[in-house]
Amino acid sequence: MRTLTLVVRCAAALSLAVLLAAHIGSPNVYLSGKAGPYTVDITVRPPDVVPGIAQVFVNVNDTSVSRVVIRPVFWRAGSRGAPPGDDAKAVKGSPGAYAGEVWLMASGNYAIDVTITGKAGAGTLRVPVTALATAQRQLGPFLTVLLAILGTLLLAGAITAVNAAAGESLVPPGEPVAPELRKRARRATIIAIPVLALVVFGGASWWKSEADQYRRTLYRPLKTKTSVAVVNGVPTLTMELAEENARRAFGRPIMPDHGKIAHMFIANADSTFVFAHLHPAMPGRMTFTTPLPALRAGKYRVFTDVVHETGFQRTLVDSITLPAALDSAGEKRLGVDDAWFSDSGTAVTRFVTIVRGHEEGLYVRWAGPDSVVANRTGVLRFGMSDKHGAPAMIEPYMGMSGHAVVMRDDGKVFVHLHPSGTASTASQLALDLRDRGDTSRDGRLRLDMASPAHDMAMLPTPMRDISFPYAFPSPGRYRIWLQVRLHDKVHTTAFDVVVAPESTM
Amino acid sequence: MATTVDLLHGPYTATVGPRAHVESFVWHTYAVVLAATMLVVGLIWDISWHMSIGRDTFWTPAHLLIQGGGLLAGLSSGAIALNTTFRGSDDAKQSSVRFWGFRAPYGAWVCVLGCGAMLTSAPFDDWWHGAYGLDVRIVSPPHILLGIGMMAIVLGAMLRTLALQNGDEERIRSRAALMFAWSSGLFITILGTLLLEWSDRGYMHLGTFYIAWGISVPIVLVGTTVSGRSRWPAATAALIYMTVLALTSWILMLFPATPKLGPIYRDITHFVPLDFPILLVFPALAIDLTWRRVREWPVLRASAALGIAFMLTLMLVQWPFSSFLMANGRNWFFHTDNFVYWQDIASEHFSFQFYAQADDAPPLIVQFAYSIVAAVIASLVGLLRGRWMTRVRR
Repeated sequence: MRTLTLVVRCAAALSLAVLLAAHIGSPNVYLSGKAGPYTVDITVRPPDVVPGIAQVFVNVNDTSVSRVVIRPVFWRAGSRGAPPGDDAKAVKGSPGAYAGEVWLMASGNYAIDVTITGKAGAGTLRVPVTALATAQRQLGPFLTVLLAILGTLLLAGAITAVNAAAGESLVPPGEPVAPELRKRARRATIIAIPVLALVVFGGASWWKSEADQYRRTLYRPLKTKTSVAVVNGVPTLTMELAEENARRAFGRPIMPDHGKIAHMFIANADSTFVFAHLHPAMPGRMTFTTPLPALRAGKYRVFTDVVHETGFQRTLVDSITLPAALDSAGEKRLGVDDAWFSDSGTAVTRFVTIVRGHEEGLYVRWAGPDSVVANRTGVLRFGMSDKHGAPAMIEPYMGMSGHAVVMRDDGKVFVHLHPSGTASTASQLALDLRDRGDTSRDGRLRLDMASPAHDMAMLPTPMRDISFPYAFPSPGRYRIWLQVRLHDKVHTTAFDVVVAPESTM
Repeated sequence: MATTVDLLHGPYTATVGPRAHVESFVWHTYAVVLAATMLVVGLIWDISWHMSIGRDTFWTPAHLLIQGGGLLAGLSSGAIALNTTFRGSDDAKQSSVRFWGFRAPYGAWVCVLGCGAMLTSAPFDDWWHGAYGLDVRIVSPPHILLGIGMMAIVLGAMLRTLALQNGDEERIRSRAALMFAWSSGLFITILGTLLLEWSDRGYMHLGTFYIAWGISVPIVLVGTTVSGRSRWPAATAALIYMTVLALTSWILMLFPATPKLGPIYRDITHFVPLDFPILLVFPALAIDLTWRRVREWPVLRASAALGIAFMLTLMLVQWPFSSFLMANGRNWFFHTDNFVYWQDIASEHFSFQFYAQADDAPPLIVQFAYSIVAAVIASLVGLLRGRWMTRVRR
């Protein structure tokens, strides 16, 4: 019974750990971009125990590449305090694929610099990765049995050694062991058994205290209190961070990501497809508020992405219940980048192309992959066209050609994707600024040194499709919301995807 | 008449009998003393590796030296056990100790157990790193198991040399006494590495350091002085500890090394040495001298005298010596420029300051009293251990 309780506790701890990762339940980092002249797709699988080893997979679409070097840069020490890079090894049978490992020794934010060298020269792409302890491992059955056998042998050996120490080892060579000495040896052995038992017990207690101490270092989400109230006639959501967070984690200031201090995603927890992507204000150091659009009654999950000045990405998780539908008074107060959506989703099944129409003539369809399998790195691709089948004129939406949000139906997987991947641009910016030394005397980032916002530089672009590098971390039913801007309005399309287990495909 | 082989001095002829069979185990004694030396040098090298380079594999030279030492001790002891059990004459068997149906000298069995503990620690340590993070601490359960295994092998070497020292063969006795002191010095070196987390020079004006060394080191030093047959057994062992630690560090410092793990807060160009050895030769001399006067005393009184002599001398020597280390800044000879790559530049200043007393810590005088009590208890254990060791014959 005790064993069962232990197993249940371990399983609970493990599932909790998965739930608590910065991108909820989806810790891998995917990044597509340019490393100098080379186009690369990078996947980083961070360790779930720190210090630990991150696995890095690089795909580069250029046969002239001669070398791929990966290097971990801790935000605090910068490039100057980073160890020399290591060569990623070419993956046999997969041209352009490289794999390597980097050791992440400290908890916190890292940049993994991937440097590609080939005929076209050298270029580096920086991948922000967060190193956090999130898992509590247990001994596997094989190791348990092995250690139990070895431990028993050692103990039995130690008891025999005590017997020999008090007995035969003291007898001069050639002489027999006197009965009196045998008796003394037996007495010593009887005394040694409880002493050794005490040593084993002490060792076990020490192990337990080490495990408890480690458990305290596991990443835990910040406690929040979220409520909805009508303020000046406007339905308003207020999320307050518990005071205990002030020193523990929110001591480090947060910085804007895509020009917003926070990105809040509100998704209904039942089977309908209500969804909102809002950008709350931060009137106090521990408070976020936003007007709400006309949401239906029901239970909602609230995920809020923020980025600290260390480049550390954090997702705050909470839920709200609306006993009655909200009126639309809040919609006038929302910004141009806030978007909400309420409709039935579009089921995605293999080999079926679904077209979703918008009033302005945007048609969005699922364009792959045909088979959706857990842990298979690839791209989520969506086709886009106007009502005549021509490429849609997509406008930048907060610096990106599109955003996608992926959530498993139980809320235990949540991730915010960009066409470049899962990495936050603010996180990349924080690491770059810090590395350049663009910090004030007290260590704050000089955000005024950052390059101008992307929106200024981007114009409407004709696009036939949009893709997001990603791998679903586990099988199950997922919802994906795709958001793009057309005719100065953000359009959201929902897809329902069933992800098959890895082994079945 | 038959021929027995002493590996160092070649074959010679001796009368076959129990005494000759003890001598036939001499090659094994040399093997385990060599194994113990490999373990200790490998250990110092490995710690320095972690302080300088950081990243390691199963195959680093330091690991190979440790594993080689463990294997040499385990395999040579296993071989002598198989040989004595299955091919040994009755006399050979009567010169050895029975263990689970097999026969071998007692020290060999301790080495086999030590090798077993080291082997057991390997999968345990591997799992530990996966579960709680890669190497960041010296004192962890799998490392302690490894340390116990290593200490058992060194203890095995001590027991093998003791059996020769306590034997009837004059020709080997003096050499065995020296090898015994050597093994004791190695034992103290391993113990010193396990005490590293309390041995930082910043602790040397606090009770913590004296209590940690008081509760452990006299067990070895008093045991050595009681059972050693050389003129200054404890002092020789302490001198060997200091020499092995200092010399290995000085040699390591000559070789280039750069960190392969980050974050790096300090430029490292060469292997970083461990802290300079504790000036243990002086308290060890005090133990040797005290033992000459108290050897006839009752055990408890003798232990009290030995413990007090050890701790007072340690305090008298190490307190001002640590002040000297603090006052003279970076110095390669005394290893005070041994800054590790992960040490923040700002913390260098604090590396030359003694740690402050914790608010809830008892007064210093009370902590010193604790350290003397600890040393007396350890001396009692050491005295009993030494008396047992004087009687080891197989």
